[in-house]
Amino acid sequence: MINFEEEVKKFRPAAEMSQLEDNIYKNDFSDVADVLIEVMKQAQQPPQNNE
Amino acid sequence: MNCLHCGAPVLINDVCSECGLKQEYLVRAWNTSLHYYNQGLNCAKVRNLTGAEEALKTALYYSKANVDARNLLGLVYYETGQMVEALAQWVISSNYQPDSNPATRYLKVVQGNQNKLNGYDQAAKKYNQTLHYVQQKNYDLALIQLKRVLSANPHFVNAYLILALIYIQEGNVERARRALQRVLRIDRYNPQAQQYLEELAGLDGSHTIGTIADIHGEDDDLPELEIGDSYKDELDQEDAVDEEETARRKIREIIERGAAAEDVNPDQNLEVGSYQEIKYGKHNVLYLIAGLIIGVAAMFFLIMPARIKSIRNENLDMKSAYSAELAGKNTLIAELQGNNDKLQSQIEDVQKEMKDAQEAGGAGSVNDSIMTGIQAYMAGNKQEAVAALGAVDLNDSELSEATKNCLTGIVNECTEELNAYRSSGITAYGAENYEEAITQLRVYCNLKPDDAEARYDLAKAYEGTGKIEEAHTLYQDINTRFPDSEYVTTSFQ
Repeated sequence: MINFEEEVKKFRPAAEMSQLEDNIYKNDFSDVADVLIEVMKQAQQPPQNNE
Repeated sequence: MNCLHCGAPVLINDVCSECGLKQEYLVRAWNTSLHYYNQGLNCAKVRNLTGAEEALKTALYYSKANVDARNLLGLVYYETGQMVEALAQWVISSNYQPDSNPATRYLKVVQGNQNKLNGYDQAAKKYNQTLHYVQQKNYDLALIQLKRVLSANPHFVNAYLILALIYIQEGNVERARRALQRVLRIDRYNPQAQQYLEELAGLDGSHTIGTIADIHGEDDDLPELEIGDSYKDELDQEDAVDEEETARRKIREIIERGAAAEDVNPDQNLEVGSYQEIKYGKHNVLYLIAGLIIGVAAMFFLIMPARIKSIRNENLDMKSAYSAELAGKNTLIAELQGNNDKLQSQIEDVQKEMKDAQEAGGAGSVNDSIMTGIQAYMAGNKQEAVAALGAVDLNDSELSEATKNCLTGIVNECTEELNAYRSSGITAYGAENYEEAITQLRVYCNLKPDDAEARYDLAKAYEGTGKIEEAHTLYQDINTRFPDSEYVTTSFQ
C-alpha cells in the first residue's frame, strides 16, 4: 500500500537556474585519484602521538 | 608517457613526477570508469535512464575526467527534465576538455534559447511550489501548478510522479496510471513508477504493471493525459509535447550512438525545432515598419481631420466678419449717395432759379456772386466759393428761401474756410486795421448772419473808419435780433 505522506517526503525540490553554480561545485567530488593522493599525503605525515 | 591524472611526465618506475601516483592504479581506475560508462551507455540505449544515471555516476567516481560519461550523464538528466543538473555536468565536462567536446555544443543548443531556458527555470520553481502545496494538502492548486510545469517541461519525470501520487491519493486510478505510463515512456525502468503501478494493479486487481510494449505503444493507444476536468486544453499541451519530442529526438540519437565525442560530427548543427533562435533583428524591423504605418495612418485619420476642421472653422469666422464689415460699408455708401443726390438736387434748383432770374432781367452783381460761388463750390474750390458768396448777405430779405437754403448748405460745408475770415477780421480789428477787419468780417457776417459777436466787431470797425451809418445799422440789427445778447448797444441812439 502506498503511504502518500512517506512517498511525498522522497521528492526533493528541483534545482533552479540560480543554483547552477552551486550545483557545479557540488559535482566536483573526489575520484579515486584524489583519494589516492590524499592517502599518500597522510602516509607521508609523521604519526601523531595521541597520548 | 604522461600522467593520467595531472598530465606531468611519468618516471621510469611508473610513478608521476608531479603528483606521485602510480600509473598502474590510475589505469585500473580509468578502465573501471570506462566499464561503468559502457554499462551506463547500454542502459541509456534501452531507455533505462535510472540505471544509466547510477552507472555513469559510478564511472565518474572512478575518474571524474571521463568526459564521455559526464556528457552522457548530462543527457540523461536532460531527458528526465532535470535541466540544471544537465547543464552542470556539461559545464564541468567542457572545463575538463574545452576542445572537440560535444558538451560545448549541447550548452550552445540549450543556452541559445533563453526563452526556453527561462521556461525550464519557471517550471522548476513551480514544481517546488507544487511540493509545498502537496505538503499542505492543497491538491487543487498543486494540480494547476503541475499542469503549468508539464506544459513548460514535458519530460519532467518527477512532476509526473508527484502528479500520479496526487491522483492515487484522490482515488483517480486511471489518470494516475496514465501519468505513470508517461514516466515509463521516458525512463523505461523507473523504480518509483513501477512501484506505484504495482500498487495500482493491487488496488483494482485487473491491471498489470504493463509490458514494455504497452509502455512504448503508439500515443493513440493511450488516453490523453488529463489533469482536471476543467483543463480541456490538454490537447494543445500534447502538441507542445510533440514539438518537444522533435527537439529531443536528436539528443536521443546521440545517446543511441553512444554519445562518444568521435561519433559526433562537430559541424553538424543540432536542429532543435522548439529551440530555434528567434530572429529579433528581423522582428524589430517589422515592428518598426508597422509602427511607422500605424503612425502615418493615425495622423491621416485622427489628426488631419481635426486640423482641417479647425482651419475651416477659422475661415468661416473670417468670412462672417468680412461679410458684416462689407454690409456696414454698403450702408454707409448708400447713405452718402443719398446725401449727394439731395445736394445735387438743391444745386440744380438754385441754378434753375438763378437762370430764371437772369431771364427776368434782374441779373445783378449779387446773382453773379451766387453763380460764381456755386460754380467754384461744384469745382471743389471752397475758398473761391466763400470769397464769391461773401458778397451775398443771407440776411437779405430779397433772397428767396430756396436760395437761402442752398447757400446755407454750401456755407455749412465750408465752415473751415469761413472761420478763417472771422479770425483774420478779429485779428485785424485788434491791430486797429479797421479796413482789413471790415473786408474780412463783412464776408463772414454776410454768410453767418446769426453770429452777434462778429457783427458787433464789424460795427466797431465801421465806427473806427468813420462809417457811422453802417455801424448804427449793425447795432440796430443786433439790438433787434439779439435783444438778450451782451452785445446790445444803446449809446448810439
